[in-house]
Amino acid sequence: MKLRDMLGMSVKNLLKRKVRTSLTAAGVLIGTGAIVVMLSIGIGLTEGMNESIGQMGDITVIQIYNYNQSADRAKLNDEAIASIASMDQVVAVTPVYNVPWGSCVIESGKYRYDGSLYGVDMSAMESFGYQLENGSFPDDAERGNAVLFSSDALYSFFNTKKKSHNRVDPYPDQNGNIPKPYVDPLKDRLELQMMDEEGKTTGRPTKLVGTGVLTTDYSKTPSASYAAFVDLSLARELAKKIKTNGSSGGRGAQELNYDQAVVKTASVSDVQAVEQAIHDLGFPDTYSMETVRAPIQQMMNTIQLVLGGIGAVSLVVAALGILNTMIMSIYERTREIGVMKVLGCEVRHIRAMFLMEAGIIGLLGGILGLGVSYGASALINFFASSGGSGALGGILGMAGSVSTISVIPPWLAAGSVVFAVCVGVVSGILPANRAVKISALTAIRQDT
Amino acid sequence: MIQVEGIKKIYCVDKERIVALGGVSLQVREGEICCILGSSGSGKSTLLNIMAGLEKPSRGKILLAGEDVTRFSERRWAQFRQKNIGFVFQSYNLLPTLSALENVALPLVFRGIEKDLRIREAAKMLLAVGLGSRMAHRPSQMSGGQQQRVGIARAFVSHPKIVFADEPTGNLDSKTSDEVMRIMVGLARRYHETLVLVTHDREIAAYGDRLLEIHDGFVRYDSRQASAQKAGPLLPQERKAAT
Ligand SMILES: Nc1ncnc2c1ncn2[C@@H]1O[C@H](COP(=O)(O)OP(=O)(O)OP(=O)(O)O)[C@@H](O)[C@H]1O
Ligand SMILES: [Mg+2]
Repeated sequence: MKLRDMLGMSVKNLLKRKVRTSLTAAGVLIGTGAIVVMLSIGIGLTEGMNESIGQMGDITVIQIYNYNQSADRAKLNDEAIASIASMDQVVAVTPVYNVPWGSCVIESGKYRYDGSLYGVDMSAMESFGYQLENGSFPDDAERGNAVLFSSDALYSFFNTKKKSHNRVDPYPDQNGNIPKPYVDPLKDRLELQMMDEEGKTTGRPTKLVGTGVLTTDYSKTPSASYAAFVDLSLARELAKKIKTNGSSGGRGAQELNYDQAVVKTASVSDVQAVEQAIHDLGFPDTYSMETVRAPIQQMMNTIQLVLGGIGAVSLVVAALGILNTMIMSIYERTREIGVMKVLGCEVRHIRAMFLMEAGIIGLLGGILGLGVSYGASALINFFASSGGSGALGGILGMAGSVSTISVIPPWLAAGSVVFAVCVGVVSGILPANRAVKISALTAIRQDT
Repeated sequence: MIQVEGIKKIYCVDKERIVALGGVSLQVREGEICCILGSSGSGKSTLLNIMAGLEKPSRGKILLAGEDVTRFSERRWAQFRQKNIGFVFQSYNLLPTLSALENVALPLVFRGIEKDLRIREAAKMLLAVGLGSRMAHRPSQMSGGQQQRVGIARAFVSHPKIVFADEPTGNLDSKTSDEVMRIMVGLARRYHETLVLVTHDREIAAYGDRLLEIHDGFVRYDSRQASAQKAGPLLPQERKAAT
């Protein structure tokens, strides 16, 4: 028997009893809808939580601090960085070299920047999610003497020729216009200048090129706020000079043992494992948002389990509905099944047809249930955003300003329909086996 | 075509043993139209059902079209039936939701035949039984005689080697019965198919080439043996059972 013919007969049988089919499918609809809506709320809450934690700092980033640089400790050198980079779940890693304050400045004519300066692997900045307000990240050729200021750091440039009123502030004037900073790093010439202990410039300046301006973002590590970044290659040279100048008080890069490094993992779920692996490499002082996130996530999982469980109960009821419908239909069709057997229909095809019928009911209910869930989800989000701190808004407390409570990701949408079909088919197994066992002879002898 | 050897069928109902068939042996030739005649409860249907594989014999052996089908699994039987056996029921047994054409095409659906081909074959068959104008009708829209003609078309549509019919005229008046019998016998002759027909009506039995009379689970009369040897009053099996 051909699959198409079996499907055709199943559909025909379902259409023959439209009311019963739709009522049974309605049961599945409610069950699927309940599960999807419940899970979507759980997912929405989790996403909201991640989002609000993400505002405090990137949740996939691990910071490594190398406070204790005694000789018996592992060194946070290029070799250690490379072994971290080789971990599967690690997307990017960069050491962070804090250029000691006062050891050098960036000058553009008479204007001077003496704020924070970090040496990082500039090729990794994009992976770490640093955004550009304008310009671009430096390419391989430019990287050696590129500099990227955060947009607010540009207001740190001050006029060295004046003793007071020597800065512009990023506050709007009477007309509401925010004044431009003194320096435009994309156009103006920039020079890195070493400083001696008295605060005087010393040595020959290094030419720098500003390829872009970073969007101010406190959540990054190192923070893209009141900071300038140069590439690690330049930072290494700086470190050497600072050491020979002796102006840094010994806080230079002693044989490339970095103070700090940051690691970006592929996803939130990798953070814990990678953090552990870093500990194992001999760097116990790490910090990630995981310490905040993990306990909340655990609570969320519990909430999700409870919500999903509530939905699952209604799907179990729906499964019983399918079971009942199929058994009823077998009683009615006993004679028909007997005749089909006598005419040479194979038992496995009879079973397949019954399973298909049950599966189609599941599919129907699943698709409709998903549709209803989308509607319900939109409605919940509408009330959550308009009602502000309603009952659901209350649960969300820690998620702060996030207004979408119910989120249906694609996997949930697809998964729920597949699940509904499975529920249908599984509920059909028992009735189908019953149909198969019907003796052809007793079936055709039965009076109609 | 059909070879039955020493078939016994014993039913156990509430510890009581009911002997439906006491030991039947017979042979039906290819293309033969064989009528099994007997009073009610004599075991005609039981014999037919066993030959068609709807029931298992308590003892004995059956060969159909040269194959020993006695120990066939349910699946083998289904596949064997698809190719070799047609069945006509007393109460028609058409599927109520299908049209006449779809009912006739059903055995071809089970054989996995393409839709175009099976519709063509079914239509041809319906024309042959004189229902060319009723193809789209549901069983409920047809008379008993018409329904039985659909049933006959369905039994013959896959050109099986053997067609079994259990009282095909049992629910029909004598005029319609004659019509139905003529069609069925006509089709069997045209396609040179073996037809085994059960009835308790002597007039119907007269349509066949050969007559078998069954009484209390034994073959009491066989027209082929009778013409060959003019047998005595009792057949050997009967004599054995009587003692
Ligand atoms: N499933 C069964 N269980 C018990 N006894 C049965 C069963 N089927 C048939 N019998 C018995 O077997 C005997 C033969 O039955 P069968 O149906 O073959 O008779 P029949 O010749 O076809 O009669 P009819 O002309 O009324 O159809 C009867 O005595 C009947 O009671
Ligand atoms: Mg009978």
